[in-house]
Parts: sequence; structure tokens; C-alpha cells
Amino acid sequence: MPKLVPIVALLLMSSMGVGNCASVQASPPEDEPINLRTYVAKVLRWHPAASGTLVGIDLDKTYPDDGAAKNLSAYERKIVKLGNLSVLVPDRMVVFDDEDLPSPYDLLSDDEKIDFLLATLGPAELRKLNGDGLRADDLRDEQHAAFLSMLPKPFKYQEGTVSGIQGTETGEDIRLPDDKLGQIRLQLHRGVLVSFGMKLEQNNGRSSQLISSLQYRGHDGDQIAILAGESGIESSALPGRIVKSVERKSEIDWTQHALAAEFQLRPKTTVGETVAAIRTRTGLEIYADRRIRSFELDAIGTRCRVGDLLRGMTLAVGGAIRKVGPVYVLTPQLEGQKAKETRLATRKYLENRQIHGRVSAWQAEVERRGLLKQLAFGPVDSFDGPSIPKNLYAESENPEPEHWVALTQLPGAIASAIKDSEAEPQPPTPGVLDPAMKGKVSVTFCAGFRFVLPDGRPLGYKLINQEPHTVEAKPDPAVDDSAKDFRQLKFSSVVAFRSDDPATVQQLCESAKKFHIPEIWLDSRSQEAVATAVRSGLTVDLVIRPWRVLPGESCADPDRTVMGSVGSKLNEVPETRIQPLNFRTVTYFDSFSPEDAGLSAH
Amino acid sequence: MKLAGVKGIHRTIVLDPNPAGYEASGSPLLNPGTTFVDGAIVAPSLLDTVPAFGRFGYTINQRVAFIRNRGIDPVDLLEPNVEHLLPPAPFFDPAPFEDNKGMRYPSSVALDERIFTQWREGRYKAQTATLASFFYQLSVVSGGVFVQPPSASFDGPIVARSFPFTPKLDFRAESLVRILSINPSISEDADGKISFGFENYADNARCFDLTDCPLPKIERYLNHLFKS
Repeated sequence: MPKLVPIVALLLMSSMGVGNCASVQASPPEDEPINLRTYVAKVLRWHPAASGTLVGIDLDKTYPDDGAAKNLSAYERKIVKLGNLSVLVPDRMVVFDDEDLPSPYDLLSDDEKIDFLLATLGPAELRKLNGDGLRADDLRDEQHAAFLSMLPKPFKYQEGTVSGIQGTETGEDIRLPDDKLGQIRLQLHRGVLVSFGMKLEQNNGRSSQLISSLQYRGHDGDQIAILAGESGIESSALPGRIVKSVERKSEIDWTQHALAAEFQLRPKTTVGETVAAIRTRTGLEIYADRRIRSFELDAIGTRCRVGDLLRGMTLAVGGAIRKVGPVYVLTPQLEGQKAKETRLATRKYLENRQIHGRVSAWQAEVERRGLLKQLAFGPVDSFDGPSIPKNLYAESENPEPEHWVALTQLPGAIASAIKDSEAEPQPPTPGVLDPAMKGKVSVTFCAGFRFVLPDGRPLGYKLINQEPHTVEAKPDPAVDDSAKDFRQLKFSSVVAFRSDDPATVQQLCESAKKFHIPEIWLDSRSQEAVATAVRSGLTVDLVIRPWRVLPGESCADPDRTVMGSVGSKLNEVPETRIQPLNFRTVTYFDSFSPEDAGLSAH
Repeated sequence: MKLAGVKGIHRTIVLDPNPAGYEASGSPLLNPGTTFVDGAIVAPSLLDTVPAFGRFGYTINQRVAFIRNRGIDPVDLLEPNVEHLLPPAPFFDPAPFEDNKGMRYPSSVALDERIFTQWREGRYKAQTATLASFFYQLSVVSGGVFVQPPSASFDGPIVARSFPFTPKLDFRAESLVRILSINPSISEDADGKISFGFENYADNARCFDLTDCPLPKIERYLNHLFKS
């Protein structure tokens, strides 16, 4: 019995005795920057006879980051030892994995996140939220994630002063350190929304201006803190994290006999040429990704084990060896880049869809418990909302004229705010002021949230949709009983079946007749079954799906997506179907590819 | 081919001949999952958002052939000049910024656009050559062959597979048949009751495709559809 050798060697550098010899250092020379080849020769004084062969990528073109060659890490390299071979490899790597996907909460609106918090927080947390504020550090799990997703990234604010309704920035952006984000407090308060300046428009419409006690931040000249920018990720930020480099998993047995042979290196060659030479030397069909073929492979020394060289080159480009059928390819990592992107994008889509599916439930809960209606005012309401008699509040923000009240019935702060607002330059709006409404306004409740800096200074409020949520009961699409009697329709309907069994086909034909279906489409591989259908008297069309693999058929290499999924696997993902119609939208069966050997017998 | 020649068969209908992923280079890629209402997209589907999820052609054999001929595994082909979820792979991808995000590595040259065309063209040609041979053989043995054309997203919310049809039988002057491919795995509620709803497409003849419905339940599906 032949000795079994594992084909796949999934090894980490640390578990394999791969030595990290970055400690081989010496004093750098003075002045001007030197490239990595010179550094290795003159500073490390690398002698193959004493230290073995050393290889690296593009040594002549690699310079230290700040011009000073203090050590190898100035080149962002380290030395890894593989048997007798030393390799200059990057000391860091970029990773982006499932956990690096943005939070699904990021795609929810702030209103929806507030709904989520309101619907799921306990009484004590709700009191905090409606009082002095709730910190992210007070929360866990999903609530914590939802809170953090409301914070702009990076979180920046500015010093400023009140100027009219708006604040005016007076300083540079101040970035709050990430480790302080958990100390930011979120407050949700009731406010007063005032409509004023009613205008009559040509088509009997009316319009008015709005001002909220939550937006009004004080008197001109008051010192305030202002949130810088609205939200979003820094535009220059790339996804992913930079971490200390480790060897990526590969699908090759580094200990196999073919890789034990000696290899004669040239001082300067390319990655592509070297991999081609390894292919010839070992008989293993291995290729380098075309994107790295032209990189120079520099060698100091001439001899090494061929497996060490292949593995060393893989480390030197931070890549991995992937096995595809009979061939190996030196590529960025085991999972294909397009495959990984597709997999992660799919996950992101499904998570977003899932979370959006919960929004209506949160809104219903907020409405059921009347949580927005129960909100209290903040410690200081700019319009002194608590002092306004309840009977002066209108039900909506655009009430009929008869629900407008005299400005003199309301706190003086409202009149001052309107005066400030009217003093600010406004874009022209259609219509003329309604003289009958002069001196009248309407007031209603609104709600808004704001952040409070760790030092206690509040930022500006942002209004949320203050209208009570109207959640109408929607029929569950899964139980939609809208099936129509298609016999009554103008156009005809046929049905398609699949069966190779004549008796079953006969039964299906009888069923079709029972429902007055004049024509059937039969997918069958049995002549007898087809003949049975023809004898039934129905019009019979023969259906052929040329690529479909039927039970019992041999298909060595079924067609796949970039993620490696076969059609039947896609069918397991409900989101590939259109709801509530419940019809498939992808190739949902395993299929032959055009070049499959089994197709000829199909 | 023998089946197509069985006496009495009205016509032969070829379904699903063009899986997504085998489109000709330059032709629009198929996104069969878009949900439209009155011509407007109302819900970007998974396949709109992640088209590669439903595109085929990545068999081992085809990947191996491409690696041998073009020197790259197709599963690594990330389109250039578009925003990606993944960061660039150092050494393999061109550095996006001057500082390489703090990583110092020689930057590779961006993949030539032709490599993407070659990957699409190779699959398209292989598929069309196989289909051409198949259709030729069919045309010899069968009096009428109807082939479902590639389905583009604008066809409508239901899979909307359509093809020229000879007006005959009960099909009154209509030229299209919508194929409504019913998926039994999500058509029944927890109690086994068939419970899916569907739009009333009164503008075309339609084929309710029950190919994958369990044969013992076919009559129940027919009852749901036709309400006897």
C-alpha cells in the first residue's frame, strides 16, 4: 500500500519552525539612503558561505521609509529562515476578513437606529436616554453596535459661537480619540416646533417656515461645540487592517519529494522565470500569478532546496499557493479575490436585508408603547416648551389656520427666535404673507437627539421624524391569498412537469385535463413517457434544458459560480427568489459546463 | 434527439440555454433578479447588488485552462477602476495611494482590460459552439424548436422568460410566454399548505413550471393555481 502523503499542508509560520531572524542587525552607515540590496551587503554583510543563500523581491528598488537605514524594519522587512535559505519578507500584511465588514447598522437611518434603541432599551436606559444621556459603554451587543454606528467616523467637532440659528465654527477640527467614543452620551429629548409666516400660494396652497427649540442653540455669541461634518467614513481610508505578517495557508505539501531537490539560483532573475524553472525542475505544474511575474527575484548565494525557494517566494510576496485541479498557482491568498469579494458582499447584502426587515417591528413597538409621545423636554428648552399650555399645541406640524395661536400667548423666546430667523437671508419662496395670520403661529411637539462630549458640552440636536409612526398591518406575503383563476383570463396557461415514469406522466396528464389545461410541457428523458403523454390527447411540447444535470447523470466538473457554488446550492438562498412571487431568479439546478466530458452522454 | 423525434410531439422547447455568466463580451450582463414595478426598480435584489453571486462559468477545467493560458486564476479577477470591498493585495494589486497605506512594496501594473474580455469571450465561445451543434442536431429531428432567449432584467419581475411563439391552440395572438418557475421549497407554510401568491400577468400566456414540485403534490399545486 502506498504511503499516504497529505496533499494540503496548512501550516503557519509559527508551527513549522520557520525562523524569524530579524535580529541579524549591525550599525547602519551614515548619510544617504541605501537600497535593500546595499543594506544586506554592506550592513548585514551577508555571506552565503556563512549564512546560507538569501533571496528577496526587488531589493534594488526598496528604500527605507524615512531615508535612514537603521534596521530592516525601516524597509518593512524581516528575515525568515527556511532550511538553508533566508528570505526577506514584508513584516506586515493587510487583512480584510468577515469581521471587517461594516456594521449592518451603518445602512440604517438615524431615525431607524433611534427606533431600535427605543424599542429594545430597558426602563432605566430609556430614562438615561431621555435625561442626561446614554453612553455606548452603557450598552452591549446590538445596542452597542447601533449606538456606535450613529457616530460619525472619525468623530470630529469644532469650537464655535452662536450666530443666529446656526453656529459658526471658529477653530480647527478636533478629533475625539477612538478610545473616548464610548464616553459620548446620546440624548433624546422633546422639543417645540413652531410654524410661522404663513403664506398663501396661487393654487390655494399654504406654506410656512419652521423653527425648532432643539435647533436653536442660544443667543448670538454664546460659545458652543459643533459637530464637524455629517457622517461617513474618511474618503481616503482603505478597508482592511495592517497586522504583523504571518504565513498564509497554502494548498501544497511542502515536504513532498518533488520539492526536496536542489535548485541552482541566478543572482538576478524574475519571479515568473523562477517559477517556470521550478515547474521544469520538479514536474509540478505550478504558475505564478501574472501580476507578480515581472518582479525581480534577487539572490545572494546560489543554492537552496527547491521547496524552500518556492515557499520563500510565496512569503516574500505575502501570497499563498492555491491548488486548482491539477495545477498550483502562486496567488494572493487561498480564497480568490473575486470569490472573497462576492462572498463578503453577499453576506453584507443579506445582513442589511435582515436588519431592514426588523425596522417595521421596532417602529410598531415604539408606536405601541407611545415612547416618542412620552418623551420629556431636555433640561433647558430654548422655547420653554414645558410652560406652554397643552391646549395650545397642534396635533401636526401643518395644522389648519384655525389651530394657529397668537404669538403673544407663547413664551417670549419664540418671538425672539422668529425675529432672529427672519433677520437671516432667506431664499425667495412663492406666495404672499397671509395678512389674517399675522402675529400667529402654530406649535407642536418634535423630538431630536444630540451627542454630548465626554467633557459635558452638548453638540447640536438633530431632529428625528416627530410624527407618530403609522404602522399599518401588512398582509404577510407568504400567505397572500391573491391566487387568481387563470381560466378566466384572456390568455392561456400551460404547465410544465418533469418525469421519466410513464405511469406518472399519465396521471399528470389526467390532472391537466381535470383543470382544463390544453397543453403540457414535458421534461422527460423517456421515450415511453413522452409517447404516453402524446396518447393522452393533450398538446405535448418536449422541454429540453441542455445544461441540466439530471439524477443519475455523471458530471465530473459541474458548472460553478466564482464562489464555487453549484446551482442547487444557490437555490438554498431565499434571497435569490422574488418575494412574494416565489419564483426563482438564478440557475437553480446543477448544470454541465460546455466543456464537460459528461455532456456528450447527456 | 430520439425524444424530439417522437411522433405526435407538437414542438420542442429549449429552456435555460443561457446561464448568467456566459454572455458575449460587450453585451449586457444578465441580472435576472431585479424587482420592477411600473418600470422602476423597487428593491435591488441580491443579484443586482452582487451580480457575481449568480454567474456561472467557473468550472475547474475552465479555470485551469485560463491559468495555463493567461497566467491568472479567474476567481482572482477583480475589475479595475471600480470601488471594491476588499483592500488591494500588496505586490499583486497596484498601490492605491502614494504611501501604499503605510505598506512598502513594489506595485504591480494594473491588469489589462483585455484579460477580462478574454475570460468572458472564452466562456461565451465554448457555450455557443456547444449550443450551435446541439441546435443543429435538434433542427434535423424536430419540426419546431423554440429557444428561450437570454433574459434581461427589464423583462419584468417574474423570471420573465419569453420567446417567439407560434400563435396556435389557445394562445390568442400573444407572442410571448412567461415562464413562472415555481420553487416548492418556499411555497408551503409550516402546515404544508401551499401558500404563495403571484402577480396576475394578464398580458401574456404563461407557463407554470412545476418541474421541481413533488409529483404527489402536483394536483394540489394545480388546484392552488387554477382553483378548481
